[in-house]
Amino acid sequence: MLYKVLLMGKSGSGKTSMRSIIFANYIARDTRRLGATIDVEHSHVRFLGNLVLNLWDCGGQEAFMENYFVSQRDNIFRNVEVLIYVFDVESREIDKDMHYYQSCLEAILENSPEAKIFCLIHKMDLIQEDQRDLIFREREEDLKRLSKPLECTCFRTSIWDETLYRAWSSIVYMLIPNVKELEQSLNHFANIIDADEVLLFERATFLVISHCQRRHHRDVHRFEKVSNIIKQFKLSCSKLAAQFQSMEVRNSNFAAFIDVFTSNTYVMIMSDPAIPSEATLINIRNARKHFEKLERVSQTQSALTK
Amino acid sequence: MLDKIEPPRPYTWRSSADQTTTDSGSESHPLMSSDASRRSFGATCMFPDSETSDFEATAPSTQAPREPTPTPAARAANPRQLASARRPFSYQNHQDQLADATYNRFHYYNKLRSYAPYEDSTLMIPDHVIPLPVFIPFIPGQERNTQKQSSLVTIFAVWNTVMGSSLLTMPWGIERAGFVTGIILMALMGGICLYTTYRLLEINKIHGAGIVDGEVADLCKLLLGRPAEIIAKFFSLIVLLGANIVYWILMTNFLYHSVDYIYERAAGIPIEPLIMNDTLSTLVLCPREKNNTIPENIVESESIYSQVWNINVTVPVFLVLIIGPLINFKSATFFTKFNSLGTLSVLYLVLFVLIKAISWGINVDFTNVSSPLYAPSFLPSFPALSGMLALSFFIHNIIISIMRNNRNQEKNGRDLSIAYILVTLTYTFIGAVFYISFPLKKSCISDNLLNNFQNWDVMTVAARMFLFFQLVTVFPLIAYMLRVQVMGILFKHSEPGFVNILAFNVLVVAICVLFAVLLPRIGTIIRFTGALSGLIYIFTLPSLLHLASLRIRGELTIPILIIHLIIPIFGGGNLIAQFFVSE
Repeated sequence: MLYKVLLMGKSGSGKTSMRSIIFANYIARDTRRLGATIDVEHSHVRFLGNLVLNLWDCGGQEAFMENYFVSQRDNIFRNVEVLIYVFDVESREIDKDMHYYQSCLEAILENSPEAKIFCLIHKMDLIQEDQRDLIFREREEDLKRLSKPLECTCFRTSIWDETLYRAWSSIVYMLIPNVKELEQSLNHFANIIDADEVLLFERATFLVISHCQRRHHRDVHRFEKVSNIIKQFKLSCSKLAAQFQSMEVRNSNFAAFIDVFTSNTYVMIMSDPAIPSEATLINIRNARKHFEKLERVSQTQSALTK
Repeated sequence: MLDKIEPPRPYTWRSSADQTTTDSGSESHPLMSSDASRRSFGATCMFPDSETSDFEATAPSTQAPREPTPTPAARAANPRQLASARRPFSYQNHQDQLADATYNRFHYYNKLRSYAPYEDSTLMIPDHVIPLPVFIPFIPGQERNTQKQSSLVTIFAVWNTVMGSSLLTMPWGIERAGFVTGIILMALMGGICLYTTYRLLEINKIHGAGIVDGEVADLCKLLLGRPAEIIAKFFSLIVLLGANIVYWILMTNFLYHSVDYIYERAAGIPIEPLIMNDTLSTLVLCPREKNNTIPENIVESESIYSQVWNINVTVPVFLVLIIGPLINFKSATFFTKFNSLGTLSVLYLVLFVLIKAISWGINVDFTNVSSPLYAPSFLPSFPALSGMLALSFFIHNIIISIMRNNRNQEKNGRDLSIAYILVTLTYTFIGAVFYISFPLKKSCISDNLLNNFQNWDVMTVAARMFLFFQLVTVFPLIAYMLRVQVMGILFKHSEPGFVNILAFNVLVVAICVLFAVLLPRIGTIIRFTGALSGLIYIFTLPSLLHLASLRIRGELTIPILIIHLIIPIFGGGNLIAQFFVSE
């Protein structure tokens, strides 16, 4: 059973860029679309096992698109696990935006009342730094108010700072049913193998699901950077019709291992270079079984609750 | 997990931005507003390689990098091997961390844009996101001197460019004019050329500021109208064509003699015995009188070799085999690498003349008319020299471009004068010294001074071979310039096909070969080309441009008008006189 993650918002609010960055898709030639994105047919991107991303333009000017949207409404909003609504912070038609947002919420309420709602106030880099918090708080208040009785979580994002990555990581974090258990297991795992840090990445997007840090590290942006680098590498690999599976990086100061973990995750282990690779690889192999079991349990759990 | 991630700190690079002149109080606006600046971030992305940051060791190329960067960890196999032994991720400040994160994103997003059309600005880094250290401060009012040349380099460039084919012809020119007249004419022509060149630069300074890569033709169009522009372009072509023809003849000459020398050496033919009793004449020839002095015991051998390898008929055609392929390249930039050979050849010739002069001593008699060494002070054939000098001092069609790169534009006049003085001195040295020390009758001096030497004279052999090679690298350049200009006129908006290029090259080579076969006298060609293009470029156009400029500015006075109309008349006289010169 596939569940949808709806990525919605006004045309031009930055959804395609967001999707391209998070899911490492090339920007296609036809970004200047004349009509709204009908992305359902093209989204083969699955993440977190059973989730599929659908992109929809909301509030387009074309009557044709409006009609399609309205007539297909129920179809679109059925089986939705997550609604991510993108607001362009620079939009001049705030009321109209809110209006479209509300109509989406109505549809959600009718068709997928259990769906989690996230609102992204996007393109925040265009706002002057000292005003960002203020503007965000204002919008957040309005949105929370408007969304009642549904609950929405708001993030402020920009593709040019770490906020986008963090917002999406938070979203993914909230979607994992037994995430606390996962974190505990990860902690345990890190202690056993004596790693400096262990990260758990979502497989398709390399968003950090969880991490256990046993040694302090100064670079706060390291998750996003690693994620970007690996996604670039995956793009290069795909040009050769090869698939990235694992990587080991060593120097005299550290050893890093990136490997497939479970069907939905990748693991990255930073350890002391003195520890031989084989030891760590064996540990990963053994841990895999345990975490896969965890994942299967959580999947059946979430299936049962639906 | 949310608790473990530290809250985002406010961007602190903004605070250093407050120290610049950008006004920070108002709404955020990009530091640079043009679209071009967006592209240039990819082009000029040179993240400062400070001790604190750990960026790519190799500077990114002009295109945004397409390949993934290896993680700094992977690249630095051993930090001790790095020159400064930087530890990865050792940022000293928050600002560098942010800059590095921005660079990482920029890199990744650029890869995502690989297949997007160029105009698409999706995921292109906006100006306000670019970290401050990347910017080069632009202080308005101060020109960026990144690509300018110092005065010394400019002077040298002018000297090098002016020095041309007429170096070998200079002694002949002085002979044709008479010694004293020759020197005076040299100074006079040098002075006029300097003046008119300077005028061109001044006019360009006043009127040519808006024209990108402007030259004389553009100034003509601006001040004198379209017909003047066409004339300017046409006569620029004449110069190039004339130079090509002269080079072809010279190359024929050098090739012939070089191969002759090698053949004679290989075939064991003995050195030609004395033609005259005078020992000096074993070293020096008088080509003019060669036909009258063949002694009986030298038989003109009608060998197959001399039938096949004939300077007047076959060698010009054989030259096509060598030069032909070279001129068909799409771009001649390869040949610019040999620019330095030109300077070397000038220096070698100066040395050559000096050595020969020292070995001959002074052989000139200004008073005794009956002496074989009589050197007249004045000859009615002096226009030969003035015509020739018009080409020798010619630089008017590219001087603006050369001087544009001068770092101190105010010193243009000074630098130009120095360059012209050096040119005049060089020419005078070669011409006068050779003339004074030449041991035979002065009228024997050939229009290619190397022709005055025996085939087996080592320095001459070396000179011919070296000069041949040098000309082989210069000819394609000149032919290319000629081709580009003609094609630019004929095919204004389209790329000329290979067939057109080939046809054009065939035409040019045919003209060169014809001249080499029928009229291989470089003295004649140089003086006619010089007088013709000199009339336009040296005398007429600069004067007219100056008058037009003055008129626009309302500063035209009658005396200036008269002077600047006399100059073209002088040029016209120069041209007409060429037809009455006896050689």
